[in-house]
Amino acid sequence: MLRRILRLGAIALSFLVLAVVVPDSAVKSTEFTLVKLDRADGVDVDPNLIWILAVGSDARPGEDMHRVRGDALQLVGMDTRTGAATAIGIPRDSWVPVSGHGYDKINAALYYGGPQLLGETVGNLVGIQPDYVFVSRFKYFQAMIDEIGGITVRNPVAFDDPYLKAKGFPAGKIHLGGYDAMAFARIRHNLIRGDFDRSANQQRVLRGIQARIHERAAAPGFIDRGVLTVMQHLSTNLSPAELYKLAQAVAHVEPGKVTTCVVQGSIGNVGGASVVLPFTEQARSYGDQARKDATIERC
Amino acid sequence: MRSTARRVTGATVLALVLTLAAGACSGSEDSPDEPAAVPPSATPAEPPVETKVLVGKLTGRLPKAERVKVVTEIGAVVEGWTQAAYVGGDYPRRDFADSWPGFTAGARALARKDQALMSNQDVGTRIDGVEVRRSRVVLDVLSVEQLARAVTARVLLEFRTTGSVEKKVRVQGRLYLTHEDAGWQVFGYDMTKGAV
Repeated sequence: MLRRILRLGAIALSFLVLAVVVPDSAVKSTEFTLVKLDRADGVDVDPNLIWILAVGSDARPGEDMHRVRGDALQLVGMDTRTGAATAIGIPRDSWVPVSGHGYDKINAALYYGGPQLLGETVGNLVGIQPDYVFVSRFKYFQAMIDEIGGITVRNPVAFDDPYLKAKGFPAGKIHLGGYDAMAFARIRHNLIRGDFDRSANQQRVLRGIQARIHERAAAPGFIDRGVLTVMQHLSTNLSPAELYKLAQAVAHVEPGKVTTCVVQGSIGNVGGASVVLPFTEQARSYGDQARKDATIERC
Repeated sequence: MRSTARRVTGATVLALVLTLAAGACSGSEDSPDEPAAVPPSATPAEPPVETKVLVGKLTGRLPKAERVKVVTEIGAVVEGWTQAAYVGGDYPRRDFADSWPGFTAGARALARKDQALMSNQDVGTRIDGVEVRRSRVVLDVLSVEQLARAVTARVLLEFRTTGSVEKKVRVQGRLYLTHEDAGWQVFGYDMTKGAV
């Protein structure tokens, strides 16, 4: 009985709330319209699963950026059929075999053999050969971030650097302009896990870039301006149409379907130089998980 | 029954190409140019609705003659799709397999999976005609070295269905096109469809 009274009371209360919220429900309002829209999207890019090695070069003005050591290495995969994407971060000091040059730090491959050899070396570590190698100077990287209006990242731990960012970055959701995005991706000064944490921060920046492109892609001319800007600063044998297709593929990645992992390793010493001895089985495991659908279930 | 306001014929598309190629202006949201109108396949009973095709955002430089060419060629591709997928055909209609002329093979396969949205497959058997109320295409053009390299076509098509299902439908969104060996082709899309 009590339960029945409570239920009746609840129903009465619901009507009361409705009566307050909809003051004159007898009169149909035309002030609001609510219609259901179905949405479909897709891009046909060959191959459907694209792998791009993104390389940040610290080449100084006048230096050939293909003949220095790459500073940031991220192997990025996009599945244009599902909108999923993944990034596998490689510590730049990873000690690996470089074809024709014995063992060396992985980023030395750029110096020895340009983007081709670097792509091949990273591909051998992860077990996925990139379709494209995208090399960018940090200065251009800054300009690109400013061009898209900055990015938003979620920073798990506050950190700083006396040279690059003395005031530091607070923990939490932060907006970064071009310079700050560059600093956020480069600093490892007081990051607890050094290069591994820095690589994870680079992935936060990549997520921020992709989310921004995804958000603004519908603005007329946004993708086109991006392609034109890239062409002005990029050494590439891709046609404008191919770049446009790639840009649309990036724009169609669903931010909620992005997964990221960093290849871990132990710290070693070779010839007096500090190196990372990468966990190669782990690197292969990431490659195996991501190969078919650009998704890593478990880092 | 055939669609009441529009009929899909090769002549429609041909007329579009010929008329625009003969000197119809290409329009631009950034310029005072008049939009180019796609001549319809006329139905004597009522004034036909023209598809307006104009250039929207132009990135890079593109000579006027090239703009006209882009409007002509891409207008024909988009019109080919809207006719094949929504406006034309014999309704009641069951077969929508050829609804995506001008799409790449991969994009056609994707559109086939989305055919309830990318065509009238969802209502085809329950309607006996389609009357176009509004049709507009705005082209955002990426031009490099004074040639159009990629185009985003912003499409708006509104039509009313007649038959068992009578409703006004709006198809709206973007098609992505690049110039391939076979001419301009749609390689991607981002579209919505719903009752108005």
